[in-house]
Amino acid sequence: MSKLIINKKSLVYVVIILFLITGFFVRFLPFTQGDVQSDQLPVVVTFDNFYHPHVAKWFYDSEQAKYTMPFKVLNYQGINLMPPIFYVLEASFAKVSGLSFYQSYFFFLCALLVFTSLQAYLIAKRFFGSDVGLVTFALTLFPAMAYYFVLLIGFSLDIGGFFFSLATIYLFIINIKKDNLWLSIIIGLLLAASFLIHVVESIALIVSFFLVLGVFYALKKVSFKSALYQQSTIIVSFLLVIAYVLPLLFQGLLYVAPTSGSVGEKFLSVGLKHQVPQYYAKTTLSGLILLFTVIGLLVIAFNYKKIIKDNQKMSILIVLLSIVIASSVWKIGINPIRSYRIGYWAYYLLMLLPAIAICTIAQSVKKNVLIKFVMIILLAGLIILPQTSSSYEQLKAVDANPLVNTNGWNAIKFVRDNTPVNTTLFELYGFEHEYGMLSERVLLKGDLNLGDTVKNMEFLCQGEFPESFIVQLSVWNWYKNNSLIPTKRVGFSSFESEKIYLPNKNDQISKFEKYQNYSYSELDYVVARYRNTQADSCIAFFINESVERGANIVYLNDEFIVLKT
Amino acid sequence: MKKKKRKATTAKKQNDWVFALTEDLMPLKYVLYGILFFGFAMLVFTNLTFVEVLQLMIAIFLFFFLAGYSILLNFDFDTDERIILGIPLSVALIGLTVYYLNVFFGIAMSAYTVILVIIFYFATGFLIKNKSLLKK
Repeated sequence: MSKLIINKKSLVYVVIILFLITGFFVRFLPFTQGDVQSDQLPVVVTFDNFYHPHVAKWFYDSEQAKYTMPFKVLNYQGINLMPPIFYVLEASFAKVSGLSFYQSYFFFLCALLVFTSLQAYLIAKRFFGSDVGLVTFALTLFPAMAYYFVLLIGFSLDIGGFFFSLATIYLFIINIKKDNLWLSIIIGLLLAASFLIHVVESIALIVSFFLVLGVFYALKKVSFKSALYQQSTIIVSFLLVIAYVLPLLFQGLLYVAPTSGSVGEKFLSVGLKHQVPQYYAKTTLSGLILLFTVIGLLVIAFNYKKIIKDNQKMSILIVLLSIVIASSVWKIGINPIRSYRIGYWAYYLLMLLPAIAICTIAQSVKKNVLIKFVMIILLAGLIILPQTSSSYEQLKAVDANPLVNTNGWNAIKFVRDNTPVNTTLFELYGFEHEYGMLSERVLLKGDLNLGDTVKNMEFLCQGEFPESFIVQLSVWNWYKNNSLIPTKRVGFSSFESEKIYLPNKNDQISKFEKYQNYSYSELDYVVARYRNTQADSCIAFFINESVERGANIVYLNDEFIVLKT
Repeated sequence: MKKKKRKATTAKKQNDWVFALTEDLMPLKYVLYGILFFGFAMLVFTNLTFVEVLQLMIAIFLFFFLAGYSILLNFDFDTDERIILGIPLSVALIGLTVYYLNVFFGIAMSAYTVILVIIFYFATGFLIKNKSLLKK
């Protein structure tokens, strides 16, 4: 008998290991194609794909996390006011992994996602049994395409937030009974790590924890003193850990500004051949998985008397309900703190329902262990295989339409590796999506949304060489009190914001008014895409005129050129 | 005679420590199997060399498993829970410690710092669990 148990346990471990590795490669391979030695970002689809890695790389290169990169604003250094921990983690992992930074960055993201599924497995296994655990694990590891979206769109901070959330939920629920002080401190620590990555998940968790304890108190399952003691220990340890960073985050929040918005849909208007996916893949369930989710709900409804008696099952269902509600209010037109993004997170818990349904159906059809096992594999396979096969193809299709190809990256890499650090780089054309920030130089570009690039190009297409170009500092805009604010999509949900300290503030500010005209002679280098656009002849005119004015071609490949003015 | 006795005591102490270490870390064998298999898959599916894969495997073990698992040795969890919950705990401890060491004391976020932080948490968790050995 004991031998049988050991074998079953080993078998479960083998299945978990195989699932983990497969889940990892389903995410990793479509974008890297196994080339892990290249010094290039594997996913280049939208702004976030570039923004978060370039912050983390600065921490990696400078081996510190206090200051932002000087090349962001005219080589002045600012204090980092963003939640720092995700970037610190990426930098730290890259230091020990031995991979090139950009490969390590993507590797770490994929690892966080599969380990989050592992936590979903633990929750499902502990509260609903081993079978439900494994099915939940499989469903979260191999989801429909919409749930790969956080990865391909570059919502790195969300992924970091998800990673800490499920373990926090699990520990909170088991600690209601254990009432262990040190566990409460660890819960506070995990909440703080989540908060210092992406604020919204930890706030949602604290609210749902209050809800659980409130319901338990109402049902007289815990005393008021115990509930208060537990929650206050968690909150105190949470606040102690975030105490240093919190004022910085609020300082950043004070300067939150609207951004110039999504860039993606504007690409085609200037002739760049990119297929940009819809920015938010809404989190909905459909087909078989929806059917099984409904069946799972019915199973729970029919067993509500048992569930009310089981504190742990009840707790997880309250947390699940509160997170699903928070992530679904966008459907009725309410969208505080970009709530639809929580949907990607809710998925990890929501998959409990179809897993419960599958296991209940398998259990009810036949009591024989082998037949039950086969039934579970068949039902779960019916969902997972088609959606994984379809998702994998779609992920490959996304990778086949990158915003920047190898030629573009080589041009940027040339600037990064071969120009002085205080260089001012003007991106005339071809990097409107901010990929150029990876050049790690002061970066000027026309704002595509405001039509700057089009205006710059119009002059050139008419055969006129403008004495000055319309430029803005990449990812920066002007807002309150003449402060220079990054236009990264700052918002309450993530506190993603930086404020830059400028020693000669007024001088610099006067130089960079909005819609600044920047003279050609003030630019050190210009990078442009000259082939495979609808404006090839206009760029060719610019290149010829620049060379006539004394510029040198310092880098040239099949599509991109770098000029030293 | 005294020397012999002292030698025997020292050897016994060493044995106790080795035994405790082996016993505590033994459940991580499943993690090691997983990482070994993953390393093999990385060799097959990617262009990394054997040495690079080896470094990556060590990094995964250290960064994701060792610190958190060791701290959770002091709590009443079963092996699955300790390993799985140890992953986010490891990552949180490393991230927060490396960050605050940098911000408050100016210590560089280098590979050495990261590894020392991991060793610190591993040793702390292990020593608290086996504090009885310290008293002997």
